[in-house]
Amino acid sequence: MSNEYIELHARSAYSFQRGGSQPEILAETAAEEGLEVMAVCDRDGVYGAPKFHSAAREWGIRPIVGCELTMDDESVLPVLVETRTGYRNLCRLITRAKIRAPKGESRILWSELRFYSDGLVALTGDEKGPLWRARDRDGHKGLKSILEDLLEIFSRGNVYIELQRHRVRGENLQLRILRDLAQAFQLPLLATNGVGYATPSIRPVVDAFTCLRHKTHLDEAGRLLSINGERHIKGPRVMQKLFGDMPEAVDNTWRLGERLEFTLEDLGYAFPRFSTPAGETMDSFLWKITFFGAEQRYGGLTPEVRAQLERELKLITRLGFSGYFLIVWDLVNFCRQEHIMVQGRGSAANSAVCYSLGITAVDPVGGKLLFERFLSEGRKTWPDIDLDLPSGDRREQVIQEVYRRYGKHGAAMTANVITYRGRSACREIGKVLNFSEEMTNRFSQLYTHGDFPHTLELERQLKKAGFQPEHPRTVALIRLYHLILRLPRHLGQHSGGMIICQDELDSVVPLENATMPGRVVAQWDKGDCEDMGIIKVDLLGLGMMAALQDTLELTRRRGRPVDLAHIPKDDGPTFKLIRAADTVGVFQIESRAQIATLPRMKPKTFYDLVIEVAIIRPGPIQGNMVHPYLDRRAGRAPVEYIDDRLQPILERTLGVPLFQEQMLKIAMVMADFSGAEAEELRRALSFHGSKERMNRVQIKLKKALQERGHPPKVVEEIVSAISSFALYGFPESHAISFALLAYGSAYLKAHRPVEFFTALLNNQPMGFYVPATLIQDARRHGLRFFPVSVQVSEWDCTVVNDTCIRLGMRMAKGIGKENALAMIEERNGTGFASLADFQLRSGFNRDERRALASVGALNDLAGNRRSALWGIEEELRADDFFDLQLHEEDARGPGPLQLMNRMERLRADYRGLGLTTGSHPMKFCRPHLPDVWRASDLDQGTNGKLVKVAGAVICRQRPATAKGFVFISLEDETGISNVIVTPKFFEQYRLTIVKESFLTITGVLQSQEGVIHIKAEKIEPMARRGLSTGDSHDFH
Amino acid sequence: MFGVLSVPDFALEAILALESDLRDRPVALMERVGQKSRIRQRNERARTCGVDPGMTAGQAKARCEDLIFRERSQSAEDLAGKALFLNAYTLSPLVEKTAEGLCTVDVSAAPPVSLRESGDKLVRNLHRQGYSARLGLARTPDLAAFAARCAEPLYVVEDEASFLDQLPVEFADPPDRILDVLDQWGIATMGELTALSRIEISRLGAEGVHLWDRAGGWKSRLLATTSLPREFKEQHEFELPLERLDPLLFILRRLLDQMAFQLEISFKVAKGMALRLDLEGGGIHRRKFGVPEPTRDPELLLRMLFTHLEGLRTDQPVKGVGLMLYPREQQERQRGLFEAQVRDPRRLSETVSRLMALVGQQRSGRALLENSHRPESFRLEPFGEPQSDGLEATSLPEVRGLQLRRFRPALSVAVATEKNYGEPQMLRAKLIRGRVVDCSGPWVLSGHWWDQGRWSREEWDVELADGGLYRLASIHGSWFLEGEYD
Repeated sequence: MSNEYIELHARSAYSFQRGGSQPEILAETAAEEGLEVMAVCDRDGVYGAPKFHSAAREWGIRPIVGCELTMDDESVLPVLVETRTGYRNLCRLITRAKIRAPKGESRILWSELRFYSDGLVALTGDEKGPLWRARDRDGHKGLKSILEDLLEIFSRGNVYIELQRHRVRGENLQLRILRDLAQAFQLPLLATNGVGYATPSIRPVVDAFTCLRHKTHLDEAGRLLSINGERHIKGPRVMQKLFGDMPEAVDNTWRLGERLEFTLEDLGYAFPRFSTPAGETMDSFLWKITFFGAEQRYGGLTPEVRAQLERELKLITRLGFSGYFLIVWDLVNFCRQEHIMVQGRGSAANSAVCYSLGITAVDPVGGKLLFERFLSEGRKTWPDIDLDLPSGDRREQVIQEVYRRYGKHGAAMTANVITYRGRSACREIGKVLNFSEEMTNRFSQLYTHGDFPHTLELERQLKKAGFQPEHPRTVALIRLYHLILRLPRHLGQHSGGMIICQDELDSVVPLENATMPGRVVAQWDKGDCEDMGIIKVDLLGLGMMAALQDTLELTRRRGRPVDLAHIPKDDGPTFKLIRAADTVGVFQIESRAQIATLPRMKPKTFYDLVIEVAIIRPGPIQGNMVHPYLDRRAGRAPVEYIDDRLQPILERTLGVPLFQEQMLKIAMVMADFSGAEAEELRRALSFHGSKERMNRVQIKLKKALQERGHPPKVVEEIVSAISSFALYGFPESHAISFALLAYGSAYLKAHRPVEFFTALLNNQPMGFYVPATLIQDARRHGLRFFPVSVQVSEWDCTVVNDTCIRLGMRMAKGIGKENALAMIEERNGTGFASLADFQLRSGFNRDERRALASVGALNDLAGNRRSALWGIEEELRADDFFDLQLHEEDARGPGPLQLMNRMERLRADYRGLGLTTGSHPMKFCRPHLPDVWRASDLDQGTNGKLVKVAGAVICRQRPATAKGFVFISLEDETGISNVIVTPKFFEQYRLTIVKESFLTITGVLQSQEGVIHIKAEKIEPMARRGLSTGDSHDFH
Repeated sequence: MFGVLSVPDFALEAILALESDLRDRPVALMERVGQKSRIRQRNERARTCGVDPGMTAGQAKARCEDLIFRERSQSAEDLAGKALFLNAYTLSPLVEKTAEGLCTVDVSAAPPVSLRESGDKLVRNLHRQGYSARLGLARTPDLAAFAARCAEPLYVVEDEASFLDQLPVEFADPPDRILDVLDQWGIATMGELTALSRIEISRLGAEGVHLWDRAGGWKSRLLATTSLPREFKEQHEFELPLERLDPLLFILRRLLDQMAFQLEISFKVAKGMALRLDLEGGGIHRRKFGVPEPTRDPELLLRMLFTHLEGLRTDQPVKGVGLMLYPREQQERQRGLFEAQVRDPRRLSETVSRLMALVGQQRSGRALLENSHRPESFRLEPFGEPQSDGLEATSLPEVRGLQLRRFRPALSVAVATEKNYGEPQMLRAKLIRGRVVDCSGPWVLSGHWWDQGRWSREEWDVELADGGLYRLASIHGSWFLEGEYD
């Protein structure tokens, strides 16, 4: 290291509203400015440290870890990490402060600091630092006493007087005071720039954040705002000139920098050890249980299986991952013991060991899956095992079990960093710029369904919302929006990623409280943990797993159990249902895009289903793989290979690369990449990678291909296929895992619809469709639904017989679970004899009774809804016998109110249940719509015919891959019609499409291989008063 | 007999009365309900496009692309409410301000025929002022209120039973909770409601019984009457700040018309007038006018204001206006022997206004430091305004050292600078010139980057060869000598 200035005090945007630049940008700018070392000291955490670490390494900068600690006297003390002990102390200190404070806050006690100061170096900070705080509080005496405290806590040699110069009049006087103090206490001076952002152009971001923090706007903020834009990264020459009168302050930076030996490479993380039976090591035990499990699953080991298991186990042992497999195996066993359905997904399904241990359900040997996608020699990161669990309470049970096993400071959820984006960012910037709330609200409301910059840039969106484009503040809004976009806003928790540690996890990464009670979250996200070599287990909640488990339980209870492991893999009715795209409610293949592909794909085997799951993904769509595959499958195009050597790899997918494994194999065969190199290529091209890294691996691949003498055309084709695909492509193993669930759910829909739909309704919200759509679909399959009834219904929906489902109390809006269960318990003791009896014993308040009466849940007691609505309004007293008698007589009479007509009942159903067990609302409108086609009649229309369809909007979709096209699904009493809207047309009718719940659409019928779409030419709101519909599934 | 004078969709009507150019365009009034803004009222044009109350802005725009949104304006509603009250007062002095946009008048003493005539007249008068008012006349206040809702624009209830039978139950303004129950019961009209017995309806509690009584039109009540306001004061806040005089004069005329009407029915004249303009940056412009010849002629009063405003230039657009008249009893003037008489009161007011125009509005008032890093930034507030809060103390210690004598205005100066770092080396102003022997700086300041108020400057402290110490500032490439240190 040359003897030049290094920057030891910088905040990144991970200081949450206190820094303006991403850590990666800080690293890049530091490199451009010629800094060799830089420390990022985020406020009360090391949130940005991993990202800065990785970026700094790429730019050739040594990254130092630091932190600004908010103390209990509100002063801010910057500390730098010198050793691993210092880092552990820092993490523990922050964890203590975070865990005891409300979410988002942290106050370190001066009294506890001394116990965690070892290995840390303290700076005196800027105007918010302890020195000036003490002086403001206690005058010059305060300066002396705080320095004595710092020396006592950190000891001499570990306290630096920090000098910052931001070209503000008056600061020289402060610096003179600091220099005098340094002399008096014989402390070293240290120059820093207190960096808040990478370049001067980012200063507005910091001002905007200041306003947000102080809940004010720029016109009111006055002197809270920065005085100038000098807190940017400055290079050694500038800083040497700036501190020309105090060169020792600059010299001390590199001297201190040399001392600060700790970087995140020295994290000291170790995965927990698994306690094995006596006489067994973790390795030997893993071998033993793997082969035991393999015997069970394979029913005898073939040489091929044995060889694969041995190869995998040797590698696992060599890489030291045995403990990890054992711990996951143990967790899976826990799930089995607790009767919680569990299935490993992702690349783990490429492993025969995982299959043998019962972690995954896919046989990779039989499926010829590529193990290297999961684990390979020379790989730096831990393998990834994701477990799918039933969402809800059962998944929470597993998460709490992990906390129980490893302690509150031994396990944590990974963070999910919420960033500034979309209309919420615009709204906050609008507030900062003092636009009226009404104005920002209007913008938000007009764009409730996200931003669509690819067809309508922000400027035009704003104009449409009434912002004058030429107004200077609109210009500032747009500028700020682009500066703030994707900066971190606050920390959330990842949906399922958990990290655990051998020793206390809080010495590896600071932990803090999640919003959810009982959860602790780490300061790093999933990618950071992966980059830092921290192993994570994803405990993901799948609604469909819960629904499947419930379905199977229902089949068991009804005496005809289904075992998914033993259902035929070539079941005719199941494939017929899939080919007919009758897949509402079926896992994965129920989406509009899947439904549109199924009739063209015509799956006949399980592997076809695997391809179906994988093909409707952004990767194949962006890589233009979908049409070539379908064309080849239909025989419209010949099966070709880029190179003959690829035939064995791509044969299964007709020469079209669809899976990540195929990409890796292509790189291995065509460019002689090792398994680890191929996996590194995939990771670099994934969305976690930086552009720089992506370019580097692309060049490496290209070079390797060229060196092996491939023609330029082949090189280009391979590089382009791999690049576009690695981003989103599915691993084949993952597609197989998902296809298993898809097939299982399709099988259950085909053979056990009554249990299947019951379970689906009991696990809402999940999947693609709302209950109203599921019920309409079930009705089309011959099922009948009985309404909610306080006399019969349970909390969940229940199976009445092979064709009937009774809706549960859970479907009634406004009814709490606790009250409903109490009512059911009361009823199960002695049934309700009358409406009065129900009123007195049910415990429901008047609003709840009203909600139940309006949806017909009291009809069994009152005869009809109106009688019930009339009866429940009377307040009864249990001790007034006379009153009670009168009420019962009254209730037996017809009552003074008219019966509800059909439309009134429909309206009440949608209002109180969000669905109807009766006819679809469109049935009532049909007589008024003579020129409108029913969804079920569309297949009789000829291609190119102009048709008009109408219905409830159940889905509006604008996939990122569809280049701005919008897909609308309209539901009527006969089924669903699908409409395509061009981007231009969407902008023209944006609000009608987004806001109206019933639409009439005129367009050209397009029928292709059994797939019918209507290309919209005219869109109108049906605007029929009194019509009701449930919610729609929007813009997923 | 009671009369109810009402303006339907009052909050929107109040705004449209002041923005008459919007009458023929679809307009909706937004109101915040919980977290969301929703449409509260809309005009007929918007209604025919399918815009309904309760919709969000987005839903409404989906139905009507040209829809114009307005927010509630308290000042417009105050003005309209007062107009309604003053007009109702012409029917009878027993006037109750019953609700927003609704006055009930006890007209028992008036003969029915003259009531129709005067009612008709006052409705027309309100129409001229821009309010679509309706008048209902009936035996009880409640019936009159229902009649007002059916009036086009005048309705006298004669056959009470058949009148009530088909009226929507919403006319009786039931609480939302009760309306909800009635909706579930399938009861939509007052006739259906009153078909139930009073005992039956008692299951809805006191509110239900009260509603039932209202729907039957059986009960009368005493009015809580309000007397004429003693103050002659009006004010208005603009939705968008004004930069031109015309719209300001339009509003002033509306205010003066109303105040003149109030003077008229109070039998008073104005002896003085006070104008207040609220400016966007927080500044206030005030001006008092004596009316040498007391009058209630709005034309005359407006001309006095116009003369003053014509020469007035404000730094910021006008966001609000207030007007107050000082009344006195109308009396025949008795010229005393020694009474000083103004020969031409109009000319006097005009002269005062012109004098103010000559001195300049910007140069009068009290200077207050702005809360900004910008050196010496200040704003002017008129004398007599309550003092604003002081600035927050900065975290930097106060700068101590030599005192600076400022040159006002700062002297333009030519400066030769060092190539690399831009340090001043030589300077030449009109009276001060010399070689720089020492300097400190630059002190860099900038701010207000978010609109046209953006500024930036660099300051240097320089010592010249002759020993003089000066403050030098570079602003957008030009140099200025700002002062000399003692």
